[in-house]
Amino acid sequence: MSTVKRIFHQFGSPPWLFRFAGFAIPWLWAACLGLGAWGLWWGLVKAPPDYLQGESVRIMYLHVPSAWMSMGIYAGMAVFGFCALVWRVRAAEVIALASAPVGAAFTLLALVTGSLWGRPTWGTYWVWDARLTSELVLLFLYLGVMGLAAAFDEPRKGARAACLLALVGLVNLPLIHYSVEWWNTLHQPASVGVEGSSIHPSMLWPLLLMALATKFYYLANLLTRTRLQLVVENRKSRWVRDWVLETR
Amino acid sequence: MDHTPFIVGAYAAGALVLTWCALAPVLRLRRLRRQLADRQRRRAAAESA
Repeated sequence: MSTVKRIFHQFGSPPWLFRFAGFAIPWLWAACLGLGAWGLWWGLVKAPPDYLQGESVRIMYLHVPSAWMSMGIYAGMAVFGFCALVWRVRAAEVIALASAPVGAAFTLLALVTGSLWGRPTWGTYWVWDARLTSELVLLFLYLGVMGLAAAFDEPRKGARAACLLALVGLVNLPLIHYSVEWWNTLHQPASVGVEGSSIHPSMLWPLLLMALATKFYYLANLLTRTRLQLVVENRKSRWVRDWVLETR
Repeated sequence: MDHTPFIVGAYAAGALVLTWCALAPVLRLRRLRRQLADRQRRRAAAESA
């Protein structure tokens, strides 16, 4: 059996995934907290204020990584949802559904921190701008996925419906990303892209550190939620009984 | 305009949302483990009686 195939099969095995998650979670939290503390210190203490935005630019070190995560997690959720629907990989379904609350939290955070940045910078907490509105739609999509998964008496049916909604909602991601180019928006275009960045390194580095910290936060949180879901679904299995005895 | 309340508000919201989102599944898993352990204990007691 090839290595890729073996890894694929291992991820499909609930006890293996449960044990792997239990091993990885503390390391992921350590990386998240270390990088987060470093990024926060750099962004809030060391980095200079912006010549135009002043001190309010410090909100960006939380707002921008949250906005990136809100879209990245949705894309990941849709990919896992696709795997769950097409190949019926149960672990992919669990991971897709476990991603939704974390994605919703980052989307909410992007909206709240953006609003708190908008008041001193634009003079308003909210405008029905294409970027802001499509990000709000993303929050509703996450809530829809979570609600749909819980709305069925038969959990597997709910999970499949939620995965389908996650796939349909994928259409919103290019709308969010290109909204600042396609329409005349109050929200500024992207300052960091594949081709480079228009941000000074003194501000770019703390932003990238915070972006990395949020990635580790997501992975740690995702694996914790995956462990919970695996126990809920396999509570009568031998390996869950053994785990309960182990930790008594 | 003083920007401090907006910065503090944004980071406080961040701490609140991310802490809640991280702790919720940990607490639920702990509660579930306790329930399962109680159930196993009751079953073992019933079998030995």
